[in-house]
Amino acid sequence: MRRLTTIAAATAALLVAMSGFAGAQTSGAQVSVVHGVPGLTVDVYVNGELTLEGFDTGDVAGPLDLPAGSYDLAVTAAGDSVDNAVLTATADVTDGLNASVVAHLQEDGTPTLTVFVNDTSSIGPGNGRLTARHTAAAPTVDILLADGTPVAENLTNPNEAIANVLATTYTAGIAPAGAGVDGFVAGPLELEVPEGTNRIVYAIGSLDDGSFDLVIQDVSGLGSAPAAVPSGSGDLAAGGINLWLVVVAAAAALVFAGSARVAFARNRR
Amino acid sequence: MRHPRVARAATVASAAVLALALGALAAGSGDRQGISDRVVEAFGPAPTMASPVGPAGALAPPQGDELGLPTIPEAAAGPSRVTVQPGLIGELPDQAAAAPVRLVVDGIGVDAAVASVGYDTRRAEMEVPAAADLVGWYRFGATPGEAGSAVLAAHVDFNGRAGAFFRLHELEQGARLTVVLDDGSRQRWEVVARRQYGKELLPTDAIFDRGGEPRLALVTCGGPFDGRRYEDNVVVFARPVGAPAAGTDDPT
Repeated sequence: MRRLTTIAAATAALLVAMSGFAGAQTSGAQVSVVHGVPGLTVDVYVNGELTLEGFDTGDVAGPLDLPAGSYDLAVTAAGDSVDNAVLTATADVTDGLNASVVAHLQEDGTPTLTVFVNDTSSIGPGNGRLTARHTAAAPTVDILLADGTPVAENLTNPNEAIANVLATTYTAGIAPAGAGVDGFVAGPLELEVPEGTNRIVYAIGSLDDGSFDLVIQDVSGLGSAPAAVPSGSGDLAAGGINLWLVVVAAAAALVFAGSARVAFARNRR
Repeated sequence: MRHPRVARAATVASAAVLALALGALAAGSGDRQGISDRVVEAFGPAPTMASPVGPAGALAPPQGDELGLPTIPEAAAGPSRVTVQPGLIGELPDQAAAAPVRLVVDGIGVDAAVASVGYDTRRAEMEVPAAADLVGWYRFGATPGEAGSAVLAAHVDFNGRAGAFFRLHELEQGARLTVVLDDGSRQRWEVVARRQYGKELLPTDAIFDRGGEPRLALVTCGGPFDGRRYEDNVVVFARPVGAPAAGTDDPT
């Protein structure tokens, strides 16, 4: 597995002005909402209107098709008034954007909202994309394969690492930075990376109180077609030329020519 | 699995489209004021909701039939409902889908096992089973009978033997074939067309298309052999028996 590149995510002001970003969609933006705050059922308001009610930890909602524009997001405890929002943010979304709004804990355990832009660029056949997002109350971590091979190192909240990898199942875990596989705080566990899919793994919750967990969001439909189908060895050549017949015939002709020359030479003697 | 109730739509002054997109999500909202039946039709009934939209629906633009024009549902632009699914790694639903295990084509004497194959990244080609009598199903693409074009490929010849698709070039429009899935179900398919393409001209985007109506593409090699490989691919396109004919004769 190729080492992941660590990328700083958009945070705080949530200005997601990413015009022209991987515009697979013809218009509007696709926005998902991920709940990564443990032990809290919430309602989500968009521009003051209740949009998601009774949203539980670990749930992934969406994607919502949103026309480009500016949106006020607010998160309240379930049933509470929007005036008592515990988290608010403004998101400016542009055409073609694919983003995830994540309610999660910061490293110090206080909740926040972070917007991540999802990479929807085309993925080569046979491959998938793995995105690892550190959205947990946890220190700097490494993601390692079970044999110790680093997948991503020194990942901090709220950042992400992205790589295209062979579509298969990996055995990986999460350890505090530098601790190695003996320090796994999560895993090792089997993680499939599906072909043609951006599989986004969020670390959520808190290491201190045991609420640490992993949430998966898939952005699928990014695969591409193989360029060729090899489906004949040429031995029997249905409708074509039989290579071996040609080779055999050529060899026979050479042998015949050779003996003819020998015979001719003898005759001249 | 939990299904949080999705409440009323966000309303923005400008956006009737947003009203439709989000409003249609309104599962469990008993509120139907201001919504026209045509909007309901445009979105179709949703299994979890009694009524699709709140007052935002009043902002919906007149539908085409009020102007004497064909109705074009706004929803045609894309998904319009918020789905909520569990994302915790321990709660993920098992997504194992059915896979084809056998292909029978009476007309050309095929009764072959089907193996799931993937992609050879080194050679940048679809994998095809290294056996004469096996058919390979491209497992990264469509599943037969589900959305998209499922691809079954087999050799025309392999290692001195006739391959499973040795006679694929004989299949004519209207011929029937059967795909057996690993759950024991059998699907009947009808040949729509047979095409032969130079390898460089193979319409891979259509053959491996993962969306649209259920289709089947049987692929093998054909044409002259240049000493290393065949110069052409032979492709047979099929649709489920009983499925309506496509708008065009050319499946690609």
